Amino acid sequence: MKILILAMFLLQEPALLPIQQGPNNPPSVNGWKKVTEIHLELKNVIKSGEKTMTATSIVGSFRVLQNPELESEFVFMVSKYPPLTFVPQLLQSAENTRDEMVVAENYFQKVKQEKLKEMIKFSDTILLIKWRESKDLRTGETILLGPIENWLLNQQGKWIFESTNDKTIKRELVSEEDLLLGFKFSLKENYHILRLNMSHLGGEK
Amino acid sequence: MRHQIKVFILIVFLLILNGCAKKVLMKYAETDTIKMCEENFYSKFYMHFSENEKNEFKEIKTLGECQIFIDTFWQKRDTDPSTSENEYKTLLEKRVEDIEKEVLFQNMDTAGFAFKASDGFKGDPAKIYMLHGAPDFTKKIEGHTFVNLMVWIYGDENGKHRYRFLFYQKNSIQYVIFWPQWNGWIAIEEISKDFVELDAVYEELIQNEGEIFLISMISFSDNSNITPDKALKPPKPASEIAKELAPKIKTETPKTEEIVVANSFNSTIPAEFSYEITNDKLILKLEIKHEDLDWILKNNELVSELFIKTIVWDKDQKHEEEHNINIVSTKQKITEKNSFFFFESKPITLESEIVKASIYIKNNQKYNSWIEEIKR
Repeated sequence: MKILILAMFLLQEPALLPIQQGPNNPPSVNGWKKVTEIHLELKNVIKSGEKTMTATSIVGSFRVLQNPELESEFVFMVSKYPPLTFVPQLLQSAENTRDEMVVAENYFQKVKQEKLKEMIKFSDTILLIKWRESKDLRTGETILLGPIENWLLNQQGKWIFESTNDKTIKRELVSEEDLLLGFKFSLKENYHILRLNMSHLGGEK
Repeated sequence: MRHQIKVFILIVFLLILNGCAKKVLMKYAETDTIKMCEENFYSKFYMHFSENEKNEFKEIKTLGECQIFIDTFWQKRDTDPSTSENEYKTLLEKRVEDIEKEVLFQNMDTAGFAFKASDGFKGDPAKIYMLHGAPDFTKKIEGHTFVNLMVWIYGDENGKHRYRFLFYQKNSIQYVIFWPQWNGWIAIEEISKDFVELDAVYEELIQNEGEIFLISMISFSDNSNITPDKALKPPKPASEIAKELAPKIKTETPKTEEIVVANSFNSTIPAEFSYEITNDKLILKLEIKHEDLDWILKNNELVSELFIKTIVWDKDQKHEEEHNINIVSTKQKITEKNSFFFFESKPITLESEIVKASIYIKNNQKYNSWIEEIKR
């Protein structure tokens, strides 16, 4: 259900940016089929004078891709792009009808998609998890086939690789005081933070 | 001769009258343009024209200009720009069709009411119908002591009456709008037939379950902020509403065109973070390779604009620093692998054993961030 709700933020097929080549670098996934794409969103309640409003920030996205030549092979890929924050206008809600709100939302969704497309041009892949799966013939359940390969771009700009049998990558919400700041992806002691720019939130905390 | 003069004057008078009846809004337009624009378009949708659009419309001369005006008129009102259909145009065209097909004529509650008999698109009922569409509730009443009445009610999201439009039949022909009166008896007097006691009018309305007519005579809406004036104003075009209500978008604007030398990433600045504690004093340190920054040309020099923000939380204290630094370099230095920019925060005297530090750097649209727990 959560996936379904988040899938509302699906984009129209932006081109995948190639991952730089290097000794520890993840494999190229160009040409892989997109299974799903979800934007990493944060919501913060901010104060402006007497009023409060909820600002939405988008700091990146994750995609699940499938190898078209080996359908049991998948990657989970996290992209980081310059953060976007949408701050609602202060409204006299009693004056605005529900129809007007719907109209404003329709126009906003279009602008939002266009802006996201623009930002995705400036994205970097910071995490890639590759795995293979198969079906258990007895139970019909999906099972992991072989190791999970994890690549994380650390803060020094170097790819860290780790092959494991379990989920190793950790995702945490990062907050500062009362604000949700972003997401931290870690592979052991290495991490990469996708975060919003605090100045975009404006208002007073 | 006198008779001929009288006939001549009468003909001239009738001609003038005829001219007045066909008042032309488009002063400079050709006949076919008037037909297409004024008769087929304006006469139906005029209630949705803003004052500016009316003025613009008056100046139209050719069919081409008219077509551009109509296209823009609809485009501005499209309620969902992401679909190919213009939902608002479809909605208003349906209202025109309803009026032309006299949809209320066979409606149980408004049986016998025809827009045509109430001056067609120029009449009050059509004006309201074009503005607000089919009412949520309608009722018509024929009285002995009062003129025929009809009420149209539009509800809001909470089930309350947003608008109550009351019409009365003038001269036993057309329905015209009745504006609510503060004084109920004055209102009743206005709808009563000649030589009738006002009490009798009131009684007849009550006996015929006409309370809604009595309410509509004195009150227009359940929401005291809504006035008849507001309800008759042309609705704001969707694009205007969107401009007023849409959230503000805040983001980084990449200086792509100004960048002379860029790092190899799109949104990341690779950097090394470290810290040093000497005699209870904490210093946060950053080390950034020149090649890992974006550079612009300023007064013949290569400049990298770097923003650094550090925060250290120690017990109840918050030590915050912000720096806007312009690093100056040369192309040769930038490409050298061991050319660095170093940053050190001001020393912070530590009180706790463990403090939390947050570091954020930004250069062009690229950034990096650290959140660390530092143990003394």
